[in-house]
Amino acid sequence: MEIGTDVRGGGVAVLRPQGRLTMVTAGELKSEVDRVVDEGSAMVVVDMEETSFMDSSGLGALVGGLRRARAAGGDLRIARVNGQVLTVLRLTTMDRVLTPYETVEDAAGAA
Amino acid sequence: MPPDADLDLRLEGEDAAGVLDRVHHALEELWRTAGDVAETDRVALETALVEVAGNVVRHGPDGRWHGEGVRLTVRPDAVVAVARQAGPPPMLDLAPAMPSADAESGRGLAIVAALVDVACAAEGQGTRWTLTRRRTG
Repeated sequence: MEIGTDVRGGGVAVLRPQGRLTMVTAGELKSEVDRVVDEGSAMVVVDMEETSFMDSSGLGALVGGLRRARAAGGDLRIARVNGQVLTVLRLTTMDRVLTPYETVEDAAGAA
Repeated sequence: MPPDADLDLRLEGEDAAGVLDRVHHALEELWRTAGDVAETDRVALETALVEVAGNVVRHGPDGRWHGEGVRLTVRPDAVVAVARQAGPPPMLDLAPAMPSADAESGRGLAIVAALVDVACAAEGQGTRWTLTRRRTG
């Protein structure tokens, strides 16, 4: 899958996975989170505006990315999710851990 | 009563990327044909079927689908996916508890059970999965 990456100042990176985040593509997102954290961006925002669908493997990649970012002293947050992604987050009660933000700026700025 | 719409998806030999791609496209076509299936029901069946299809491929001997494939049906009361795979039914808990928040895997079948009625049974030499979503609208 295409993942646009925008490394900002202050240790923030915004990742934009495009298309379906499933067992086929989850590893690519996890690798990209690992890469930006390794390169010093421990605050990772995953902008899901162009993520059309997410399965349990995609959710697993977000959980793995969250653990990686927190281990580096940062966090992983998600923004602009669609209805299907929100359904998966709520069913699994993972919306409590991966709270969806309305905007990338809200996610990046949230304390 | 005849179904509102149905669609057969042959998946023999497809790898994970091919299977999921074809499932997504087939559902798009089905929803176009059927027209009036509510968004929540469409999301529920698609999400559940992708989990099951991924499971079939992941636990197969060579990462490919073996068996007939998937039949999708829109009925007045429900949307149904019947998936047929080669080999005996896998030893799976079809209603597992949701794993803890830090788990990176193990949520697939719990998601399926939350979205649809799921059955998995032997059929001849193969296995038939039936996913039924009662229509909410």
